[in-house]
Amino acid sequence: MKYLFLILLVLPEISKSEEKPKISSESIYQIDQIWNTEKGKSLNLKDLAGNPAVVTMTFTSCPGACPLMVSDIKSFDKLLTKKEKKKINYYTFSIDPAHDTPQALQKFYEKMNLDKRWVLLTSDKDQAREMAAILGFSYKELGNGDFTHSTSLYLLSANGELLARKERSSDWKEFLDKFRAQFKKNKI
Amino acid sequence: MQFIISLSFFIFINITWADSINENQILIPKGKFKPFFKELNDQDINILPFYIDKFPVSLAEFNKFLVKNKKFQKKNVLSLYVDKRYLEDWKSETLSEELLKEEGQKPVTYVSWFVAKKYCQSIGKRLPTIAEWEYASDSTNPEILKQLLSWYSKTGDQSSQKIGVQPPNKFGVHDMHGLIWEWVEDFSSVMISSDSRSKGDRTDGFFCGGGSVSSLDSESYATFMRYGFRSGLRGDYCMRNLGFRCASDITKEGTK
Repeated sequence: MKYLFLILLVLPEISKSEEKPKISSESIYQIDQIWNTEKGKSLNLKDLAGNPAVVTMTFTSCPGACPLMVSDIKSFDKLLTKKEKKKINYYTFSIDPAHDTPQALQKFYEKMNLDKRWVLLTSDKDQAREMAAILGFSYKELGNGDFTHSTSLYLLSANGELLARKERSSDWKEFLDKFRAQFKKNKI
Repeated sequence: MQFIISLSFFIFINITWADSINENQILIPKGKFKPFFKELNDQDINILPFYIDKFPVSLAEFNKFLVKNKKFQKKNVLSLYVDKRYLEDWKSETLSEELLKEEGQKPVTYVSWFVAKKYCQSIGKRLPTIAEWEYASDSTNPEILKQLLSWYSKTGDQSSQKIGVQPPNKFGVHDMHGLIWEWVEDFSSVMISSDSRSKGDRTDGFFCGGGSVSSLDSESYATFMRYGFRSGLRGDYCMRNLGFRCASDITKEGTK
């Protein structure tokens, strides 16, 4: 009963953001998965809808590539206007749920000096594999807590459709153009 | 007479007991598996004991799943989960009794990784990992290797054959080779990313035909082909000769 009360407390908080756009058949958010945030909140993928988002997959004990991916995303954020900045979210899905507890995510969140537009998510191995396959993200566990993985970033529309994929070698043009098209369309 | 009755009773009990625990699965004992491609820490992978299906999933079994889980029928399935060829050879949402009598024992193909995964989950199972699949397929056995090369060089459609016709391998598992290709849980871990090829990633040799240089066992051309095939897949691909089978963990009690 106590738990039910907790859930009720948590739910309105997550869903309070503006009215949700309709989830289309191409939306990643229609996949039935539950993830936990760095704040320890449990949410359904649908709850991530609302703003366009840049997403990727990481693990927090990652020595090199993941902090780099985060600073990459930050450099994208710097290209946005003040108004645009308010209408974008940044999500990471963990490929290392065994170590990435909400506490570990929170540490990473603080270490990387992230703001409230960021949500770091962790779940279980199964859902991580499924998310990776949906995004087209490859990774392999090397067995000593280390992973090899893609460094791709993905731009999702406000309702979770995959709009663009960016590799480290390419520039931000496609992301910027497609994000701005969304921004205008939603006349935000 | 009494003896015979009690003996047959004993056998009956034994069979049902074994079936209820294994449900057509084979216990694969623990062992070591030599990874095909060198990794940073390229040591043997320890395989924990696990169960694997004796046969690939049949049309009859998959049909049963679709009857129970309408959301995976062709007209309902999430478009993210499958490409256009999902169950391409099915003329209706589910198969008729008549057709099942004829073809029910053929392996299901034209299924995506996502749906294969959901199928296994729906009966409390999972997909095997690459390491588990390779280990259970006894693919390093020279005898099997020889057969494999001849199978891979055939272009015919073996998926139209029935399951369980070929003899089992040393573990008692059927049709790991020679019938269809099969999905594995971590198929996408073979390749790092399409992009990393151009950047001197260490999977480089894999694509340039140099695979035999980096592969630990340069004889395993057939293995190389399987890994190459997996690396070209996407989770929503549905193909004529690609099916799957499920695996299960062993719980603490030693059963599922």
